[in-house]
Amino acid sequence: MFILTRLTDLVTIQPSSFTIPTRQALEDQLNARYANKVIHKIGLAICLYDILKSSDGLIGPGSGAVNVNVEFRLIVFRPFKGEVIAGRISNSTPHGIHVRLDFFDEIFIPKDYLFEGSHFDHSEQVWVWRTEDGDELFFDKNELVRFRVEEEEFTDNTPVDPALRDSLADADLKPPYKLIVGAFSDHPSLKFHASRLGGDLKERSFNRHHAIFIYTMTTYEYDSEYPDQTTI
Amino acid sequence: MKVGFGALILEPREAMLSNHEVLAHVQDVKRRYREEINEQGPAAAMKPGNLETVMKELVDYLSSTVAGSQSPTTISNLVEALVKYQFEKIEVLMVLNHLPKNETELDVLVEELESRLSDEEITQVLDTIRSTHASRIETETAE
Repeated sequence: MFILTRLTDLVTIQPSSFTIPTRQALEDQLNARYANKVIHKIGLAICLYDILKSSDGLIGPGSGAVNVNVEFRLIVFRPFKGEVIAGRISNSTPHGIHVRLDFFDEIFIPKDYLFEGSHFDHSEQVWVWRTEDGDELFFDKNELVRFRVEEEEFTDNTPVDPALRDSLADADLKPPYKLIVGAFSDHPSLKFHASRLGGDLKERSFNRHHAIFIYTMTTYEYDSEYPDQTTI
Repeated sequence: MKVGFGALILEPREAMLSNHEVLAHVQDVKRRYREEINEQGPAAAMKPGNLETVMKELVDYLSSTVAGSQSPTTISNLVEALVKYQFEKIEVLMVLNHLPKNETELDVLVEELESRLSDEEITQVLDTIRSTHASRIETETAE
């Protein structure tokens, strides 16, 4: 889920910050610049991890600010493809389900990646998954779900010259970093069953994700009382 | 690779971190900031707003996962115990982040589980996870 990325950058310390220790001033500057921001093709930068090297401070002509070259590492949120993560459902639409983590909202489960036999209930605005046994399970808002990362999408939102841009509306609306994922439900009342599944179902499916869905579907059993989750 | 403000990316993926490591780092940073405030007075409390936001949200999220109850010892014990099953690095990482409680949960994390491990080995793996993180399961039962 998280990786370390090594970068170098030029940090300017304004004279007003000369009273605080240099290390702390550098950290604050780097965090102000990177924390909670998406770096294109890298991921969502969380915060500074450590400073590896820094050059001597240089004062350029015309200002009293000190310029320091810093080599440092950032903690970056960048799940790999196939990673399983837990999140909460923030919103459902006929196109699919939006999932959020507390610190990252752009996660989407398209309807094709939902379990087979799922349909959207327009009156309640939720996705309902009908299992093979005929039980109906609801993907309610704020429900904890587990999902597998299938694709990631980076959009470069650097401003473009208006003269060169095709339309005003195109790029601005897209989030800079978005995950497209498949779902596993994690409802507490879905009791996990360790019973194994015959091989024929798996072979019939087209790909791995399908295989997992079918598998998960038949091994969950609905239990309204949700009794001993901790059968261990 | 160049990004925005003249910064240079030297190594996009230098290492992977488990959820616990990230949580521990953020809590460490918070602790250090509190010390700075004690030493340097309230002016040091002015941290960038974006940093405060992401650190709070991250701690909220990670403390709700198993990362909150792990420690470096439990993690290294588990990693050492899993070496003999020849899991991939990312699989071990996911096992650490999720601590699967039963076979179905493990099967979701590990590809082709059945063909790679026998039934006894799967039970052993689950037992190992349980024994190295005993305290977590006790607290969950209490709930």
